[in-house]
Amino acid sequence: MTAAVQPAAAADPARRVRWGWLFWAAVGVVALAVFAALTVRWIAPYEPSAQNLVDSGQGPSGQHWLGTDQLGRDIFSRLLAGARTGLIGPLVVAIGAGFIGTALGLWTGYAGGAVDSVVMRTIDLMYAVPPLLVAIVVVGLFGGGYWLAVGVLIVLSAPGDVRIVRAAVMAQRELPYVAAVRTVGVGPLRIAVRHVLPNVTPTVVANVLLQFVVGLIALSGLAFLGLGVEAGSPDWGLMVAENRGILDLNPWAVIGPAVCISLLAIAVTVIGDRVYEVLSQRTAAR
Amino acid sequence: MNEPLLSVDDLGIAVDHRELVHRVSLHLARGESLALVGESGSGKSLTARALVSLLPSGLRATGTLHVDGAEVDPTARAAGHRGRQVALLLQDPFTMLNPTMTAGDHIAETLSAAGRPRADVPAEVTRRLAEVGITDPSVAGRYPFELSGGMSQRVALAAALANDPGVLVADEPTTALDATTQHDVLALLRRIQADRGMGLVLITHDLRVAFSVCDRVMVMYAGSIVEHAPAAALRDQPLHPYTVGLLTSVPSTEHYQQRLVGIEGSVPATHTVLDRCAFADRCAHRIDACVAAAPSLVEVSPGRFSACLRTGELAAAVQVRDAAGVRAPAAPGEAVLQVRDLRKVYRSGGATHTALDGVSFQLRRGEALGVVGESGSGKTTIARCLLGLTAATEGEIEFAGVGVVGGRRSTAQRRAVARVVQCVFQDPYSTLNPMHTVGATLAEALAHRGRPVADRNAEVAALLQRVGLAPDLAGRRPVALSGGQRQRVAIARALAVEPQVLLCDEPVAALDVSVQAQVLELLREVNQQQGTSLLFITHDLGVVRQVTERVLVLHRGVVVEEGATDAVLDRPAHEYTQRLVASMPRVGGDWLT
Amino acid sequence: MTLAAYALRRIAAILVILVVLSLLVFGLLALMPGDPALTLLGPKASTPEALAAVRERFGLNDPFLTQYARWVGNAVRGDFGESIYSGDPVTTLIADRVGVTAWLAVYALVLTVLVAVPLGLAAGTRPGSRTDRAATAVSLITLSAPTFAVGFLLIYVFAVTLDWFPSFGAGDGFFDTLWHMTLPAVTLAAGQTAVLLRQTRAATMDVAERDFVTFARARAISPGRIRQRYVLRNASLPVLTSAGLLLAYGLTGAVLVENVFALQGLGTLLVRSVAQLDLPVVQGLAMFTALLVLLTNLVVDLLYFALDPRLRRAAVVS
Repeated sequence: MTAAVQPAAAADPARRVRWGWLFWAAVGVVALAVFAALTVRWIAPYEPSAQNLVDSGQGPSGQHWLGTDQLGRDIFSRLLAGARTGLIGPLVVAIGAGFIGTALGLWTGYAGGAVDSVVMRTIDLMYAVPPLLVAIVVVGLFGGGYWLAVGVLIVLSAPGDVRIVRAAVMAQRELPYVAAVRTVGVGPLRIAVRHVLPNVTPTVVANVLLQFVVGLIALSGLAFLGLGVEAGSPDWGLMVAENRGILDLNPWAVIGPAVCISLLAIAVTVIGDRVYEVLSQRTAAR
Repeated sequence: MNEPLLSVDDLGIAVDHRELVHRVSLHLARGESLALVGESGSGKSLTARALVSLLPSGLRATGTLHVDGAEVDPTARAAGHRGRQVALLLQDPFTMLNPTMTAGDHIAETLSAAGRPRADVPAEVTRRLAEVGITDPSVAGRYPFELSGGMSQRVALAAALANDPGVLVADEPTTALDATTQHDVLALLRRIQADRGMGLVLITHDLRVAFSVCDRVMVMYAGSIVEHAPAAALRDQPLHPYTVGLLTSVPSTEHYQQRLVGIEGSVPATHTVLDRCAFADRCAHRIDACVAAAPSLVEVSPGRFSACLRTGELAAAVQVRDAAGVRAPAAPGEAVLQVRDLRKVYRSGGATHTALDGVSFQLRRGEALGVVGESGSGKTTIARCLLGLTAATEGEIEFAGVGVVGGRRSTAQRRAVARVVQCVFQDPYSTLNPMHTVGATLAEALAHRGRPVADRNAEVAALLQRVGLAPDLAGRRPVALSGGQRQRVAIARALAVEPQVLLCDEPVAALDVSVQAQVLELLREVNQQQGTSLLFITHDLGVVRQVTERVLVLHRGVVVEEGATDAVLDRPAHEYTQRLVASMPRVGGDWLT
Repeated sequence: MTLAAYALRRIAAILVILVVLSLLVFGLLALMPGDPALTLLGPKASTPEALAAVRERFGLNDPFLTQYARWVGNAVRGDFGESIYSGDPVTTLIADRVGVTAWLAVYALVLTVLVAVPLGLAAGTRPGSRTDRAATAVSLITLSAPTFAVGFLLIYVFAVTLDWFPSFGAGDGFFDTLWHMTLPAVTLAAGQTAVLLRQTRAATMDVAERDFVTFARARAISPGRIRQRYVLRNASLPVLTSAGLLLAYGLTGAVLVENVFALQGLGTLLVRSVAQLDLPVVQGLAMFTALLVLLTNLVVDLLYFALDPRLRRAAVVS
């Protein structure tokens, strides 16, 4: 018998979800980045790597909208080209870590037992060292490039996913509907995949989006430190490091890529927050 | 009659443009007690919150509220009368107290806030605790997690009364408590109210509680008051069809009823029925005029009000039918389930807790066996052991046709046991997977029964009809169903596997009383007509009287009494059973003494 | 479990983690591409004699576990060897630089707590209010913007354009250091504030909806006392966990900030050592960092005892 203050008609499944202008603005930002990454070859005013020492370190002008860097490369064209490493690496990190995290989280959260103990102790171990430091050490010492950095970040991001998914799964496991389908005779794999997984989907999706942001920030941070992407390639994090010396000559050479990273990260965070809210409204509605 | 201490006129509460409470008026004199009775969605709790200006944010209120002659705003964030003239006591004793403060601190801070000299506070705390029946001085130094539910509720009561308010609003103060504790706390509440000459507004869903504690009773339905009368008059001669339905729905603790009569349908949202009689859709006496306009609350005789157009003509027709029925003779067959010497010990850290201490019983084919106990009796642990959701520490369970199966079960064992025992769980809101349609849920269960499924859709439809639901519900998700409907789907899911035993773990405890009867009737039917054995776990003696023919009384993990249900309830032998039977709320007589 | 027993158990767990971690850290040498002797030789000319000398000195011809035991034996005495590059003892290098990083981390944490906790509390008590919306919007931006982007933005505005603060160096003396450290600390605090603010807001919202807060309001307890004794006190556990994690990561994760502001802290040391493949320094830093993180977590766990009466009582009773 519930005496909670619960408006009788609170749950109104017929009411349509309003995504809000902020969400669509964020989708717009991501769409722009994707568009730039796909079409940079045709739309960039200059070849992103073309050097022109005569025009080096210039501020914005009609010829170079955002000016040039020390080697006279066009900042705007390089920003467009930077969308490629800005998107692909974080995307692979998010999906890779999300896949590992969801699989392990489901398994450990639902089955428990020895596997759970081993996985959780390993994760405790990984939490003892800040992931960015591990990435710096591994990528630095092993002299790896961009894809090694991406791989390391997948491994380092997965524990967070495992923990979150595991906690969500364990919460679901306690609910009577799981006990009921177990009682009916449904097998553990089917319960985990068909019953529990759909109910933790909001968590998984929100987390994949969050990992994209974490991946983007980490990869650009590594690039800023000269790790990961190849020297000279158009990458936003690397551009900030390369152009820090000409902050006074052409601040756009530094601020431009910094703003690009920030905008993309903010946009994906906004999308993640909103998607989580909407999805959990759908699943939690009772 | 003197000036009312608390008076509410035309109170309306709304969120956005949806009204939740509609034109409620009530007046309370000094020293008087009034019960607000209603099921979930009736608006009784919101009305209670409005009395202390503690409406949840986002709600708007209309109408006026006067306390001791002064007008106050029911939506104000800061309200002078709140806690000082009008105090509020909440339902759940385990969440009402600050977990990081001791019991004594809760009372002391309220005393200090009232400006009492610091030196007097400790002695006063002791005196206040004594007033609520706590004489052990060490209780003041304990934290909430170190107190039982009844103890917490007493401490909360003392804290609420620390400012010596003129009126106490108690919102379902004993609903979360066990029957024996509820009995004691209600008796305490009644005594304190009389001793202090304090006004009391008691919010409850249980008419029996209202009758025994309060002078007057108001019955609320879908946000409005439908009947208002002195307690004794309402008990003896209810006027509104809803009140009659409510009284009829309560399963009798005293005798077996031939038929359990609930109220069909479910409570509508207040804002959808503002222009008509809110109860009309569920009323057997409805005429066209009932849905043409909203009936107003009219004084039928001095002090008696009813909001039914047909009050006069129906007086004779609406009677609480409550005749003792005769049980069909039971002819149970061989044992389908045998539990031998079951023990379950929980260990956490260094502490151990014995949930079950050597429980044995057997269930025969076609039999309906009740397991009665309060929280902590171990009754749910029995269910968990049977279902293989936890492993027993000692003892064994034998399933007919399967043999002895332990706690750790392979999927094959689980499937074999599934055809013997299926379960209906307590909480209708989480018993179904919210992402699956009703049809998918039932189809999945059908796939696990012994015989092959010929036509899935037809079988799903048949199952739904079997539990009294329309076949077109198959396409819906649980969110679109009421609590009673969800519990029926849960029963259908269990029946789909065609088990020999239906294990019911408090299947109606979370349902409104008007819905309970139908679900209970359905379970009786499954047992009596289909011959499925029932193992029925409950805390409610009324339910056990109606559904089972044999009963085990469980107390702290031990079966203290066992026998035919009627015999055990009529002539309890064990001291604990006697106490349990004595503390059960009853409609007639004073059970609070 | 008593407090001492609890602490002992946690310390034992920390030791286990340190052992496993030390195996991995020591194993870096074997895992790195190329001949370990070449790695340890560093920039010196790789004559066969020099290589043999290195093998002799580091005992590279011994079995792995013997080497490991020797390394750990030295490490527990605070000896991680010498930098291949400069020849300075690793411990000295770390000791020289830990001050700057500690300054930065503590300064940033103070700023973070001073801003995030009151703001999170205000936002969480009144969700949807103007304060809440502003706090949420700002935390969204600072959470997502990378540290170095924030750093250069601050340098451009406050050092290059306005010339209020220096853009590099750590300063001498307390007030000069405070002045020099302000922009770096604000940079580091920006991201941390967002994390702690979100955490505080969520915890506050959770607590503010609880029955015991409603019941306190119903008893005419003053709003100030409710905020402190009811809301903040009960929200403090998740907030404390968060703050502990931030401190641990701040002490070490300031790599980017130190790099942006050219501060000679542990972060820049790490980046330089990694670039120079100066393995002993990297190993020393890794172990030192892990120890710091684990100790911070231990302190947070023990603080729980003071804040949560359940744990405290459990400790006294048995």
